[in-house]
Amino acid sequence: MAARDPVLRVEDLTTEFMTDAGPITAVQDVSFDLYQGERLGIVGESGSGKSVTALSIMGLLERNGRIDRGSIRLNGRELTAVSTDELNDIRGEEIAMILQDPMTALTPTLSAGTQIVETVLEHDDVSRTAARDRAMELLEQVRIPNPETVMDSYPNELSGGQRQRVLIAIAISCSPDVLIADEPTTALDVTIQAQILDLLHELVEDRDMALIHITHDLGVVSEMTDRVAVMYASRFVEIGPTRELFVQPRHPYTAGLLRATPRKTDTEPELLSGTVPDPKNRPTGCNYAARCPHATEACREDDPPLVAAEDGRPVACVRTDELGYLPAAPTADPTETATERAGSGGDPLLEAIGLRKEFTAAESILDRVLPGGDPPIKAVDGVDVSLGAEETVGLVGESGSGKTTLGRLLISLTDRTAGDIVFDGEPLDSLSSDELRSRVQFVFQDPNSSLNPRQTIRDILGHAVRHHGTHDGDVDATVRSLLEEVGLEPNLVDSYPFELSGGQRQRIGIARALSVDPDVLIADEPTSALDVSVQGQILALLERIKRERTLAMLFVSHDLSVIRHISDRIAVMYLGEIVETGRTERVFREPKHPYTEALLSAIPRIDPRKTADRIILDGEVPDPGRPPTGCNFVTRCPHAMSECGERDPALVAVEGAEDGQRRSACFLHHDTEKPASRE
Amino acid sequence: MTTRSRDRWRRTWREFRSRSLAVAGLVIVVTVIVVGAFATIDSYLFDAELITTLYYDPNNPQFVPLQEPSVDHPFGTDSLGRDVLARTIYGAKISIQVGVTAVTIAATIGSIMGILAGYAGGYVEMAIMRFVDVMLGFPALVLAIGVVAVLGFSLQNVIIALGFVYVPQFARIGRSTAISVAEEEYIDAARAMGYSDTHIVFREVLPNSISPLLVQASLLMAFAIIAEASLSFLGLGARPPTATWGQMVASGSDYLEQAPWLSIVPGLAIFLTVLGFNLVGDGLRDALDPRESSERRF
Repeated sequence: MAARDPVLRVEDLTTEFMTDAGPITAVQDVSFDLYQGERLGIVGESGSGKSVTALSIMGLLERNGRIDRGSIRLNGRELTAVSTDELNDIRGEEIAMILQDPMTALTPTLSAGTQIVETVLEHDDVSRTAARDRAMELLEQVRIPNPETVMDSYPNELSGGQRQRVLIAIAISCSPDVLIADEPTTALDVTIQAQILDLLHELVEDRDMALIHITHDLGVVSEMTDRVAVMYASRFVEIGPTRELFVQPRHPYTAGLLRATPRKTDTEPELLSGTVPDPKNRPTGCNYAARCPHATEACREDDPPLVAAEDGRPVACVRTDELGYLPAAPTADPTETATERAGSGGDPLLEAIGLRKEFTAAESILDRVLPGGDPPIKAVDGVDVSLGAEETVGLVGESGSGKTTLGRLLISLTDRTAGDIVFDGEPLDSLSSDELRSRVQFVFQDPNSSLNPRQTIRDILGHAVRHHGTHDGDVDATVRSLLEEVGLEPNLVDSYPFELSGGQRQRIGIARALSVDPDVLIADEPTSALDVSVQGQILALLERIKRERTLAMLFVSHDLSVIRHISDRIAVMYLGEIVETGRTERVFREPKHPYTEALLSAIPRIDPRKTADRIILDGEVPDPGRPPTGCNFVTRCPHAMSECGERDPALVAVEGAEDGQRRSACFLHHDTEKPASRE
Repeated sequence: MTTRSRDRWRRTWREFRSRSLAVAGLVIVVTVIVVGAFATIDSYLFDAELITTLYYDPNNPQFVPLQEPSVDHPFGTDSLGRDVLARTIYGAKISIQVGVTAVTIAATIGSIMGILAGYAGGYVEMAIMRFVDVMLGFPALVLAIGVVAVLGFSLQNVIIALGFVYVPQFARIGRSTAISVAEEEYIDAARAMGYSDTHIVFREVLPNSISPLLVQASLLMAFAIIAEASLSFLGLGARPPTATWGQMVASGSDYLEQAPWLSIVPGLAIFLTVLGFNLVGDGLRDALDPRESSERRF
């Protein structure tokens, strides 16, 4: 191994961006070697510089960015010195990149086949027919179902997972030596992510490519890489073999990240306080010192270089030899776990029965009168859900499952097609809009768009407080106390949302929901747009608020590990239906429905020592406009039986489990025709 | 409350000031307005003799037609011997008056109609937009002529007519912006707070739709100035001898070869004013958008 030359050698790479406020260093003194067949992970929070590292290597920096110093040698050739023409040849043939968002990375006006064919033609002197044959081969290699159809499909006709496969096909079309994947699965659902990761793993193995996998997801890094570099505030702070680094981290940031990431296990994630320093305003000394529990005076004086620790692993921490290995997992001392929390006794506070929402594509009168046309899309298809006082229910599902729509139906942000909603014993429709909104509130997913950009924090919260009269005469004081409650400085009142960080904005979103003093909070993916450390802070905040204010909460998320720690009960949705509900810890320990089982197993594990016996589901979620007959999950279910394609299983209590609280919509658990027992 | 709104305007002003083109535009616009203002209070400032040079008097030997630019007449004289500079200065008054008033009328009515249509959707939108489509079926100038013909020939009616015919421009932009703004999550958030539709339209949708409307207003200001010129030329607006830029360009076009300054000077005045309004519009758009902070642009 040591005798081989690296395919890619990056030395002291430093990239700057010119801004109105002067140059900003986005990547600083990054060095690494990458060998053939090796998989290197670069992990870090947003703004750490990991994507810019990739773009610098690819020579794809924005116009205001430039490589300040350092060297990038690919197969012995210095990339910082070659001409643009040469670089165009190198890109694709020797090094290729897969981008994060498969939705926008393909040209919408050319068929998928054409886009692959043109990439092949660009780099190889072959006939169009030969290129087309190659494209077909590639599509087969990326395991797209029906490659013939996909060849002639336009990007809008393909799903996210299919598009990402097409992009991978394009990237590998000229057999590059190095493949850079920048968050290749971040935009995808967890079951699709599992498929794509599996594919990437196989391709790298088969072709002996070198892979740089950039991600913020520690689980993905743990499962997908041999070596990992942890990036913080433009620099590598630690680099080493994944198996060692994730078990025995040395840098306090690595350890902090590992402990802050929610896991499927019972241990509560620890809080990683603070945020990444503003690149314009970096502290002197170690960038991490302000957040580091081990920081001393020495840390605030000089920026620690990345040097080998006593075991030879490069770590940028002056105290590393003194501190030794840091714990990688949270030291489990949960003061209050989901198990201990009081369940719901008595009547539910909010209950929906037979809730249904159909979206019709037909807009005009003609469409409605004429036969044919698209069938209505059943976003929520007959769902019963209840929320007890002080109870937290986690609603989990992939995109298209209808979980967000369900949340919106419960607060009448979307009008339901059918079904009843009862709030505190009264039908929801009998409540006035103000009455409903002062008791049930909503936290939105994306704090970047849920706050009016032209209103200051004082406007946003002040209006809410005034509208609902939830102040004792002094609106300003109420606004300030709300800010304090969500952990913000009261002097932020005159800021505009754009002046705040994502985490701060989400805190404002939460403060706004709290401003009416509600009984129920519906949180729609409140952490999915945030970084791991911020996500942990927001979850802890919601946890505290819910306890202090004795709120009932419906927590909607696609992320099972996030839901794990905040919910008393969870409900799993698939294609508009709830397929399983039960007490959180029971569902996690022993999932009943095959979909829940697959969903749980698809979450990448952070601990590299735990081998994943992963269930990879075939295919994708069917078109909700044309669901399969019988069980909705029949097309992907590994246990599908003949009757599953005929009848739709009802959500019924699982025999003997949790006095009727555990329910599953699967014939495997129906008492009558129960097949051979499963373990 | 007041300190807060003052802070906001101070911030907008700081942003505006940091853009040199916008400041240049503002200088132009302010100059034109000041010049126009002079013309309004002329009798207090200038002696009667200067004012009389505006109005042709065949018995006054001072009126020599088509003089070239000189110290006495920096931009020469027109076909009747009137001073072009003086008339250009007096033209500013009418142009500004027409541009600002007509566009303000159109912007107010059109924006509210458009935003209502975009936010409400359904039959409200259908009714408003079909009406707008009908209006757009006529060329703006023809429609304006029709309106003036009905109301009677006067400068005031020209302003009303132009204010009317530009309504569709604002309605269309208001609608499309409102539709995209209504998709934003903060509109949902406002609904989730239980705010009334009035609150949502005026506090949430309108402020976030203002930028393209402002830009449109600055552009239309230019169109209105030109349209007024056309209408005056046709004898529908201000009557000669009242000086307006449009009239001056039109009448000067007969002498383009002998005395090009007759058209060029008022033409330049129109051009500069239009440019000024455009630059101010662009600058305002950026300065009003808190996200477009000059400190934050990468």
